[in-house]
Amino acid sequence: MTLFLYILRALATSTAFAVGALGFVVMPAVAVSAVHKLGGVSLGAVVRYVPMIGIELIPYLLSLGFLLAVVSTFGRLAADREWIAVQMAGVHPLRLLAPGAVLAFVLGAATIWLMGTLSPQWKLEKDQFRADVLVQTLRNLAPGRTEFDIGRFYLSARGRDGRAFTDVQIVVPQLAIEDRVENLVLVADRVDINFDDESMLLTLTSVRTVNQTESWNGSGHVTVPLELIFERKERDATRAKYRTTAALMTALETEELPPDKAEYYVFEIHRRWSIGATYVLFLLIGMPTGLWLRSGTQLTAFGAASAYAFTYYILSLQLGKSLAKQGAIDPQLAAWSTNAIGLVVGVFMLWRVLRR
Amino acid sequence: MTHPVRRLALFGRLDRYVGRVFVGAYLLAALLVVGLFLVVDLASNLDDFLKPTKDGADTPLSKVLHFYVLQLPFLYLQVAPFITLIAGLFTVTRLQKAREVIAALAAGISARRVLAPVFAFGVVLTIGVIGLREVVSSAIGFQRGVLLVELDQHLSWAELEDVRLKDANGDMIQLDRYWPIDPELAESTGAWDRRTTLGARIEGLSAVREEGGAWLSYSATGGRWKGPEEGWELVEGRLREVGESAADTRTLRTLEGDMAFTPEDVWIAWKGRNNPLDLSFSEAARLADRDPQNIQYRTLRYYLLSFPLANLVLLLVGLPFLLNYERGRGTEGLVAGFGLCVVYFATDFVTLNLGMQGQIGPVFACGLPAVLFGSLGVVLTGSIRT
Repeated sequence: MTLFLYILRALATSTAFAVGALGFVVMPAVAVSAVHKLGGVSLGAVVRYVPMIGIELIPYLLSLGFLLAVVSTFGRLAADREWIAVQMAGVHPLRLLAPGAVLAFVLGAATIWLMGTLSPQWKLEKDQFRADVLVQTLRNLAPGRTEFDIGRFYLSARGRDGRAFTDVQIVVPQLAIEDRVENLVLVADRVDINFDDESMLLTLTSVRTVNQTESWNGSGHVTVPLELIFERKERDATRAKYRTTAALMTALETEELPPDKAEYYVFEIHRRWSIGATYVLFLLIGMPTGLWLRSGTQLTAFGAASAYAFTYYILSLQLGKSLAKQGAIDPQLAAWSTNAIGLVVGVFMLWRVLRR
Repeated sequence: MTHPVRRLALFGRLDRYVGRVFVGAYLLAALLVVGLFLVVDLASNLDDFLKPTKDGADTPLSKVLHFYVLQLPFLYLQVAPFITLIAGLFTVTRLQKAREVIAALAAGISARRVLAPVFAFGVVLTIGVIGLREVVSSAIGFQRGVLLVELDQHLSWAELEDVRLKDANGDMIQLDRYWPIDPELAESTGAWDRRTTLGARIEGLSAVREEGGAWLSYSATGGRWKGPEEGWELVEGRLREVGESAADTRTLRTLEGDMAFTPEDVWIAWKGRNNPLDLSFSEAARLADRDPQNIQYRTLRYYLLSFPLANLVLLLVGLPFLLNYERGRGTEGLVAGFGLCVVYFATDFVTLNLGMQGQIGPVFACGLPAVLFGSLGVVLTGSIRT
């Protein structure tokens, strides 16, 4: 039990550290990308958007962190001669896999839960959220902004006077003029913008309405429905990636689905489970790698482990899907195909290291 | 009693040794971090990229692979400072673990001198990242961008819609559709040949300008780029004073003066709106010059300079905590170093966001974290026990 707890503690600490370090590397880049993608929305909106992107990274961060932790822990056991001591004490080497298996089970269960419940909902909400925050950006009228290019609406000003824009050119989307649908260009000395729930009200001072043949000079108001600015793409909420695992299973039992959709649902459910099982494979692959390449600072071991992981991930992205699509094997088997390859490689590596 | 500090020759054995450790760690960290980003990018986009195009043709896997080959340097640029930090931490941890820093101290060599090659690499990488961004942007940026448009929008040939750019006066020109490479060249242009705009084409150009109290409307149903000498050859180009009769319409054969723009201007304007982080410094500066009021381009211009500085700042902030000679305090130092780096990025994130909203000036937004944490890093490095 002491040995079990010792290894479990080492693995858990190393996993936490590796995941934290990888998260530290990944999250700022994601956050910066979100700031630019959302184009100057409020800080709160960016902070809420980052987890929506980040959730897609978590299965990879966790599994890669776990693999590096396994390599590091078993590498250190070997480097400190503890591995030899354990063998000399008559403990079967396979027993040392038990703490890793427990951790793999916990992380796998967490990943399956995340991918099966939270991730599909957030994926569906992500695009909606992005559209909403862009509306919010327009509503907030951040003080330094002189240009808004949102959807089909465009506003460019030479300056700001409080919340108002001065020397402005505005493209108002698809306003019907004499039976023609044309983007209307408004040029004004000053524009004050207000919103209600469904539309944007432009109060224009010294405005010229300019199209190719007409110009009108004066002051006035223009109301632009927000739905003209944002063409919201309706997402197909029945797509497998937007449905929770429970919803997919219910749909398979209760709904009459077209055969290809039903097969894809089955594939998707098993794909999520197979990603949860990745940790076990990484344990089988990581342990021999750590024991073999234990020298120095484990640079080579980490490099090799990263190479395995990336090869595995890339294979898992397409191999199963291609097999399922071609109908070569059942969708549930196709979803587990990369795991099967990983299992064979892992068992072979383990056999080699134990035989030694 | 004071001990004389030994002066070591530059690029001597110790420098080469520390440098070698750093380079090895850097390569591993690059593999790890860029690989992770590549996998995540693939996981997010691969399914979507492989969908058939809008005209029903299959998207070849080779096209996706081509895109990702070109994507690698851009992924690296996005995460370069983190790679440097991880390599620095790894180097110091290794030197500490093997008691090599203690040995150097005993030999009269200061810890700062031992780490000098690491900081030197930080400076080189800062400059290198700025240079690399310029090089990859001009060498492969266009090719990658065209592929991204095609894969993202499921097109067989890159085509942009509703492009708005600023002319030399900062006034808007609207293009309804724009082809950076003439679709007629599709048969004769290989995937690797699309390095720059070729025979760019426009459909639907419109702009209004006030000149001498009169409003002028520029329009054309189409246009084709004939090269820098001849400019755009417009189709059904019209220039008319708004409100005047159609009889006063003048034919517009090309765009001249302040209205003139090149295909590269259109491409950069589109990139600036859709993928601003892919811009090089010179491209961001070009956009900011054309549109001096645009706070986002001004912030971006400085950010593209300040972000690579993180290569050095993170080393200055993160490494001193690792040089702890008391037993069992190494992990604490590592956590403290990481923690301070997290605070640096949080500050950078907040000020960048405020800068993009125009709440604070662009120079302040981008420079504050680098100056603040750079200064702190210099103090921390200066106070390393040695």
